[in-house]
Amino acid sequence: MEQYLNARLIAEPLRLFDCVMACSGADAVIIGPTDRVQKGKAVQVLSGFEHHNHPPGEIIPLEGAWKLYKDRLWDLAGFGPMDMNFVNAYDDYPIMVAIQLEDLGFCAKGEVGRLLDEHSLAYNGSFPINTGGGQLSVGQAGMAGGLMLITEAVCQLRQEAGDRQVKNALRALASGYGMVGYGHGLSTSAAILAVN
Amino acid sequence: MTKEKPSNGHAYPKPKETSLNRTFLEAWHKEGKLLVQSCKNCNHVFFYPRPFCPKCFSIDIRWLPTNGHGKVLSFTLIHRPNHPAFFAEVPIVLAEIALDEGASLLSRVVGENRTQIRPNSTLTLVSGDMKKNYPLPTFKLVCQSYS
Repeated sequence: MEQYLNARLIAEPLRLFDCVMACSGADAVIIGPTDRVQKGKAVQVLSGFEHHNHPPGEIIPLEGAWKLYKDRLWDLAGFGPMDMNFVNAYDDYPIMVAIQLEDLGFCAKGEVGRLLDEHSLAYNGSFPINTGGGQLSVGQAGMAGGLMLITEAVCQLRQEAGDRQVKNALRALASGYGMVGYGHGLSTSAAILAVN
Repeated sequence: MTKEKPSNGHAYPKPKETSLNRTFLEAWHKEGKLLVQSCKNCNHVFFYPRPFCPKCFSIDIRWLPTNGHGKVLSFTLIHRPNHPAFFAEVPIVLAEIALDEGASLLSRVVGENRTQIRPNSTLTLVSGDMKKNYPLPTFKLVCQSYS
């Protein structure tokens, strides 16, 4: 923790370990009918949404489009935020995870600090976030980076995460963000996944 | 366009000139002015240069000279720039600036007192000889406010 807090400043208030590393890599998932998969190994998408360019024209946004579809996302899945066993949120910088947790309804806007204070976030904690370490730990493989959150969620839900396995991992949320340009957050997405 | 050279010998990266931003770049280089655009249909004022209004999609737009004044919405001090031309000038101050005319833009703030920048600080475009040092409209602090 001391090493993290004392790392050199990159752009205030971000320090070295707040910035994702560029790396090489690839991710893949296989999509198919669940009845061809042995019991306990099929992962279903209960609901999923994507929205582009919100808020428009805002150079330094503190929100994303998740808030526009979060109610439909939870309703369609038939579960709420506190039913999730873990969350994998897009993490190019820590602030993006905080914004996603707020906009997806895990807490009210502006109250993510309290939420994070109340919980331990490790894979074996009370509110596991980015159970594989996230991109901030392993790096961002360019445009393939976002899918890592899905592959990690699938791995957890199939109970194949080994030493970092979340206990009783039945349901999870994975969310993404990207293509950020000058005043445009081109894409936000979120999906609720559950083991079949 | 001439290549501006900061103290450590690396030229500042040059903005890519296109048919869309040429008027904007020339106004800065030749006259030290910051141009934004305004829509003749809905009066929306916007930056960066675009071929149509981002609010109502009208192509009936015009260039609008600004008075060069604005207020800080947010800012950061960059200690590790992504281009060597800026290494000798850290911290580089980047601010989101609300212009008097209504549009906001991301721009660099220079000057000895630049790290005293705060939300709501008043800014003005650099003037005189300082202008030609910078390839894009650049601001300096007018006075401080601690609101």
